[in-house]
Amino acid sequence: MLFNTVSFAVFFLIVFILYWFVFDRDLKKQNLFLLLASLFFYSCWNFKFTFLLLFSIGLDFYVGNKIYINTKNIAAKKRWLWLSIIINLSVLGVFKYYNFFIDNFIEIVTALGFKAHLWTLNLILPIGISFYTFHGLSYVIDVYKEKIKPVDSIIEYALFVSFFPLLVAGPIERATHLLPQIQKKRTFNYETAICGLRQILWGLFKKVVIADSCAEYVDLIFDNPSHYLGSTLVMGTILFSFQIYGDFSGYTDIALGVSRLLGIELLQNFSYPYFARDIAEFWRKWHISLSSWFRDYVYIPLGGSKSSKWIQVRNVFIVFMLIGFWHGANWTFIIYGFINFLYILPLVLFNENRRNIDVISVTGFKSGFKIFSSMIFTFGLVSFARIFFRSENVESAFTYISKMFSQSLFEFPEIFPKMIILILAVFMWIEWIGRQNRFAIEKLGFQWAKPFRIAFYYTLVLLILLFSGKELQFIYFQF
Amino acid sequence: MRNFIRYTFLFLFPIVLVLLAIEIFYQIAPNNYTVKNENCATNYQNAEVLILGNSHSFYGLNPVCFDKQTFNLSNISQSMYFDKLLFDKHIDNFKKVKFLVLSIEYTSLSQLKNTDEDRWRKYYYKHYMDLEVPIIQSFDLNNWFVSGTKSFSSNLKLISRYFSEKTIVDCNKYGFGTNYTQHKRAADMEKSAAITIKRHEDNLTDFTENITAIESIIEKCKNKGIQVIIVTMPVTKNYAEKVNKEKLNKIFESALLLQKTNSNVFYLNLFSDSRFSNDDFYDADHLHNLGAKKCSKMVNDFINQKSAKTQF
Repeated sequence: MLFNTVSFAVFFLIVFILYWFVFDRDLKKQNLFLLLASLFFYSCWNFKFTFLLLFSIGLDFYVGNKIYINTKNIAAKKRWLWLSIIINLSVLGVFKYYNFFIDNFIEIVTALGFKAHLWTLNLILPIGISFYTFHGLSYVIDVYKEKIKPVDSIIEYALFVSFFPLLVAGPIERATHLLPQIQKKRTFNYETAICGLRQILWGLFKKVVIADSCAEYVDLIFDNPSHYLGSTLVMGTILFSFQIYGDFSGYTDIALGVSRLLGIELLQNFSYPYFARDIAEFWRKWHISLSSWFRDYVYIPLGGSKSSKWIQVRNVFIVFMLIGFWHGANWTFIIYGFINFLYILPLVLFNENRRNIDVISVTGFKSGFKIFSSMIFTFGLVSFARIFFRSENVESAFTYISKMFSQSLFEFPEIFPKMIILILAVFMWIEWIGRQNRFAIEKLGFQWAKPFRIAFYYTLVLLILLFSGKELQFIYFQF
Repeated sequence: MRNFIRYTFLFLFPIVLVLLAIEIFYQIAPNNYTVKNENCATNYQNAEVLILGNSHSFYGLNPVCFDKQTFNLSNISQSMYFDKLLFDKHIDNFKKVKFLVLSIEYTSLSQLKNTDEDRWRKYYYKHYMDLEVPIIQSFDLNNWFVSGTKSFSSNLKLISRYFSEKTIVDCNKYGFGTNYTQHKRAADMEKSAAITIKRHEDNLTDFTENITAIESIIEKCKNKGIQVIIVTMPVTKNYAEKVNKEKLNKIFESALLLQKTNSNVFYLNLFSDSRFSNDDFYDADHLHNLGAKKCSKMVNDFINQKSAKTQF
């Protein structure tokens, strides 16, 4: 059940009506209903994997309580924490990384002249496993660190992990942020709900109009890079950058909007990443819930930037390799992480990684040009690294890059979708105007006359309808 | 909450209205499926030859060119799965049918049910041809909204075609596809072949699912005294050169085996028949109206020949 389908619209309409009109008087019943709706939503993909989700929920709920009971017994507390970490990562490892490790092990052993016969498993990756595993881990670690008390009700905890808008592709929530909202009675707020609808509309536009339109050309170019000029391959990387942004941030916008309609605020996951002035700023604006998760649960526990420069560099390296590997069991993702580490390394070494933390604003032509150049440069770096992200394997990524930097780089690209480029330009302009808000059209048109604002929304709806029909899977569902 | 519902309803109302209008269009405008379904019933008492298959026979076999009363029940992208469902539903009603022409093309044996265009055409069979389609789930929304099977822009194009041409029906009362005419034929057959073969090549060579369906059809025909003529329709040289030869041979062998093991089956292979030139084709793998006339006469002669033999 994809967010951009009629099935989801019908599902959500039923949930919305029952949630606010039938179960609104009793918080426990409302939470139970939301949990059942979430499990139904998840089981639409694969009924069997719902049991894996329930196992993960049960484990972390139990461990959370055990850690709390053993607050004063440090050794026991630590044992429970490690039990949860090991089991969670083992489940993730088996489903997501087992074949990768086995294949590489066999290759190494064979290269050394030995023969190895190990089984690879024909496993389907349970959708959203990386996301809900990280939800569970954040809860257990927060209980361990005594940032939160474990919840008494398993329904509340299960809802925290499996809340359907965020279940399959995030944002990766924190117990400290989401659990209090689940435990508190929610009241309907008109402004919040309208804001939610606006965000859903913008998310659908990003997914259907931006991402899916770019996908058509990206698939064409990446499937046969050797058939195209270097300049066309550059076009392919640029379009892929817009595709993945439209796809993932579009999904997130829909998730946030849907939650808002249910009176729940989720974490912001994107903050105009393509206006980042350097790579450090980019990672503070892109998939924020993942990068901040690694910051809080890996980087800081490892010492963060408090120790020596060498330790900081090591920590940054670990985080980027993990970010790369989190995306999937493929060397392409590991290289993607490594390239990003190389990008950020000079900023870390020269303490420049927190230079750009304010919201970007331009005054004057000179500073405007400087900022614009740094944004374009950052976008170029990000897009280049994504060649690895998008390629099937390392070999095809290198083929793509070598063909891209050939003489044909300076010829006019064979594929130049004018309409898409025009739409992308308008899209980026709207994003620029709205860059101080949580999403681009949050306050856009508030000062316009009502008919113009309504006309703008109808234009978005019309574009979504005209570009719809491809029903492409969200890219981040595979992670 | 009241304001929220009111304003949301007001905003969505025109959109819902437009979508509803499109759905009504789908419900009432006659199309290939409804026309075929209606004409199928009118041919129950007279038809002696029944044709099943995909677009190759839909555009390539014109019942008018047959000596015996013929009805063409084939359709665009009709898979063997739907050939069988249609056969099972209608065959008992066709009182005089003596020959069943079943076209087996390059894609026919490897296409699995509920793949490719079956994924949306299945709703048309259910909705317009009153077929019981087991691959459709009962809670599937498209059971009620047929327009939802296609994109909004495709729906607009279809409606605009209806208003400019006054029809979206592309077949005549005998079920023959009428819109692939000689004057509209593709200019570049090589390009057409390259595009088509890319779409057709599924690299599958396990034919079990479809052979089982064909065997079931043959068996039922045997019990009813119906001769089965398996035909592989002609294609351009450009298309023939691009197909996977190994797979193609396997298709021919499968058809020949069916002929060998069943006394009521005869195989006519026109795939690379030298009597056809590129001038007979609408595009790389479809005959146009004049090519269809030529091909239909050949199939008719083949039927007459087999008819004479069986009578003798």
